[in-house]
Amino acid sequence: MSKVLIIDDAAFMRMMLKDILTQGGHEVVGEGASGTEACQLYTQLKPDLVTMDITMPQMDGITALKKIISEDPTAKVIMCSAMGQQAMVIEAIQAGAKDFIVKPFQAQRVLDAVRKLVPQEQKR
Amino acid sequence: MIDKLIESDQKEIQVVTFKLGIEEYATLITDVREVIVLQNCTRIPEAPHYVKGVINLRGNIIPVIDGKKRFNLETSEEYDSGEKRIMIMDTKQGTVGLIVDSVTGVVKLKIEDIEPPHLDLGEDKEIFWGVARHMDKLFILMNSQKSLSLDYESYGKEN
Amino acid sequence: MNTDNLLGLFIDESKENLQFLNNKLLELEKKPEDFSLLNEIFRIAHTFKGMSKTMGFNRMGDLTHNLENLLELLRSGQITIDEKIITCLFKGFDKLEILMATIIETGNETECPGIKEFIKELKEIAPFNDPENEPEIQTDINTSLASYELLAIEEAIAQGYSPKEISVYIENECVMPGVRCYMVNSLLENQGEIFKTIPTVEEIESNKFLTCPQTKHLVKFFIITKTESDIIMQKILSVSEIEKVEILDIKDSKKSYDIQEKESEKNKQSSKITSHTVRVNAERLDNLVNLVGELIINKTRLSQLTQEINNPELNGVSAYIESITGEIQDIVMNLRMVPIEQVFSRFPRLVRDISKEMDKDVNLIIQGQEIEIDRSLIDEIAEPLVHIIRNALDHGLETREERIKAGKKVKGTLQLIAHSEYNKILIKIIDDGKGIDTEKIYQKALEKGLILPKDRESRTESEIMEYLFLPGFSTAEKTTDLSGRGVGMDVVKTKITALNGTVNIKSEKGIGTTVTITLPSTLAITQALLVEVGEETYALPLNYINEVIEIPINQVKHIQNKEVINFRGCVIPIKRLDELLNVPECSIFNTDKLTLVLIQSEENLVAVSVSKIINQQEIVIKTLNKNLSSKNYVSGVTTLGNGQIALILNVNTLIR
Repeated sequence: MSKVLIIDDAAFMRMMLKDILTQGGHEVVGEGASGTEACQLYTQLKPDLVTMDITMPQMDGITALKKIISEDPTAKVIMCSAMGQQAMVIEAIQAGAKDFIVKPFQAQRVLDAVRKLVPQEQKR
Repeated sequence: MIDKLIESDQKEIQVVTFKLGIEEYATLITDVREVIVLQNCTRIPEAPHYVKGVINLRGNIIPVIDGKKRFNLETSEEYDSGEKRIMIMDTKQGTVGLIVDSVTGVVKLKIEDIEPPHLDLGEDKEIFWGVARHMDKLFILMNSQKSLSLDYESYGKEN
Repeated sequence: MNTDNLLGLFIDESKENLQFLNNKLLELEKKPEDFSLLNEIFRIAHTFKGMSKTMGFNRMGDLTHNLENLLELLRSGQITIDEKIITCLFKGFDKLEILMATIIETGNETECPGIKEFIKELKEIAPFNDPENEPEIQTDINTSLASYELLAIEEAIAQGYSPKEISVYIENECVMPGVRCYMVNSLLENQGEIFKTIPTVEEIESNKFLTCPQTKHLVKFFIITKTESDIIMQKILSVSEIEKVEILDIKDSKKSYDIQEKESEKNKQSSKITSHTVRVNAERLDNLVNLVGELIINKTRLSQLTQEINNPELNGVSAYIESITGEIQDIVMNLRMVPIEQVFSRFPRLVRDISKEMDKDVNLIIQGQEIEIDRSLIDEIAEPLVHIIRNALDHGLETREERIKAGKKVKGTLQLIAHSEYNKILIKIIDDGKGIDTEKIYQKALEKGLILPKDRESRTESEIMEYLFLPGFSTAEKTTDLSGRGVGMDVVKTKITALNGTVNIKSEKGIGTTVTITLPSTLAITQALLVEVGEETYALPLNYINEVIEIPINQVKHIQNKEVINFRGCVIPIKRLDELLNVPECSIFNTDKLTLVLIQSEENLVAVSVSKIINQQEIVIKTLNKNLSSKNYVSGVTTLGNGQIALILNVNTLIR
């Protein structure tokens, strides 16, 4: 069970992810709709894991990712992208994202990604 | 009123005819929006005596005037022959319903057949345009703008 | 995973996104050089695509994807924005809207004509190399090692390194195998020197892979390293979507590993932090309003009982509950208020389309979008407003030539202004067009026999203008596609009047026309107490009601022949509604108890007697001709669920 922070500007996508994650036995500790919120909530909630949408208003996901990594180099961030954003995903990986998932989300894929990043024994 | 109609080029007018008691009335067809069967009216306190109440016509609240009361006809025996109708009329003040005993038809009246009312109607003189002959019948031609007015002042002291 | 639950949310957000797309595109049309607008549009389109695909609405997803390609070409500067492209994008958004409409209606995407053709059209404008749609080619991938590479391997072995050939099988379902390769590559770079990949990095970037029976995404890495194969294996497998890894020590035996992982399943309640706004289904909101109604009724009961029991502690609790309930009600009623922007936002697009079609230049100015009105009014006022705007553009504003001739600015101005005033909201639609020709109206009225030549002199301009509101009255010389189809200003008037509002037209020939819609802001909706008096049902506006009490008839005292009660140390006059309203056959006298509604208006407190309290509910106020109730006892009318009419009593005159 991991504590996950979901960042996506679309409430619809947040709901979708939250459903998948909670059904997979994870705990969604927070939700945010922008990069700015992501940074705030990350410091505040110290989640095991962040799912971060790439395209968002105000502050995009990659900028937020960089900020979070600069403050916590061990931060585990999974980027959420849509098809056709390969270049951006690579940029995110370079910036320290640990994994990525592609919309439309496959529940199994999402859970795999989470499990890979936060193995059971590392659980707090 | 009639002289004004004559002034215009119109040779004839189309009217809806209806009965109030034994009298036959007519009103300009352009003033009649539709005719519906009689329905229950919600009474309005302190309304003019000839206002029966309001009805809900497809969500619109429409005041309804009792024709016989409006024209001071005998109303003692309230029987419903099943032919009673509410004529939904357009007036300057909005849509108004008029309860009549029956709607008899639509006819064309020649302007020359219309005579001013030779009646002493007192303050109410403007509520009729005149009397029209058609075949062997006489129709009282109603001025719906005036007769269906809900203006408290305009119907005199009869209340 | 059940996506049905998400449909509502999807529809809500998508509608919003579409609106946003349209608006931003309009802005972009004005400022094509504004790169940030383009980025915004791209971002929203992208979100839209992701959501559509998630819901399995692939037609919508594909269409958006193609639009996105076009946007990408614009962003990268490969093509420049011109009117054709803007129109094309608008067209695309329209198609999306059509698809949305079918989804809203049926919950499913249905085939819509013209979409395939449109995508084709798009592809011609935007010949985009789409890696996702391109077939993966591997015919020309060179799988053999060059001789200098073999040399390097031998040298490495001599220096004690163990060169390896690592085959990475990426899952077939993987959407971006290129990124996975990149991730593997990054990991391996830390372990040694990658001297070759098959396919090459460039090939991988353009989505070319080796294929084999297990996968269509196979990549081979050749690395010179000292790290153990096991460790490398583990590292690579930490990357998601890797099906299998094979590591071959060059000049060593071939090993293969299978991947096995276990699932972890556990549930736990959690506390969470959510974002600042939540979406609420309108139906739930209505339910809430109704429940608050129930709450208030019971609050009334409670305070009544509290009176009887008269326990100080209970009194305190009761008073507290009373105030909280009131606050809840305020909040709930406020929840229903939405900015008028929700209606206004659709007009820029409308104005653009119509003016394009009519070949007129129009500058639309919108003000007061933040003014709040009741949610229920939003949908009601849209249609009348659309009609008025169409009229303004069609009949009001002149063609360019006419404007030049008249010495006006070539570009016409249409203003849409909302502001609030006392308890009213005013919406003005102002154009600087040719104005309404009252002479034309007069002629038309004459034609229709609505007016006589004699009366021309005595009628004021505004009286003549009133003819516009008559059913079927249209002054358009020719019927265009836009207006003059018989449904005219009369529909506008009917609609607005039904909302308890008024419409007014002012026009000056050659200068322009102003249509003013006045709506009550305290809403066509209010909470009321429904009471029975005799056989009749009346509504009392709740904001005037202090409480409802029931007293034995013997507590009614008389002062100077007037009935009063002594209640909480106050002498309160009793007004018998049955008498006041001349209700026929009323039996209030015959009971031994009196139900009294305590009504407060300004300084006056009056107890109004009724036969029975029915319930408290939200009512929609409709106007009643003022002349109908001579003493002004009735302020309006409402219809109840069963179609029955209840009169709304005018508390101010009632208690006078």
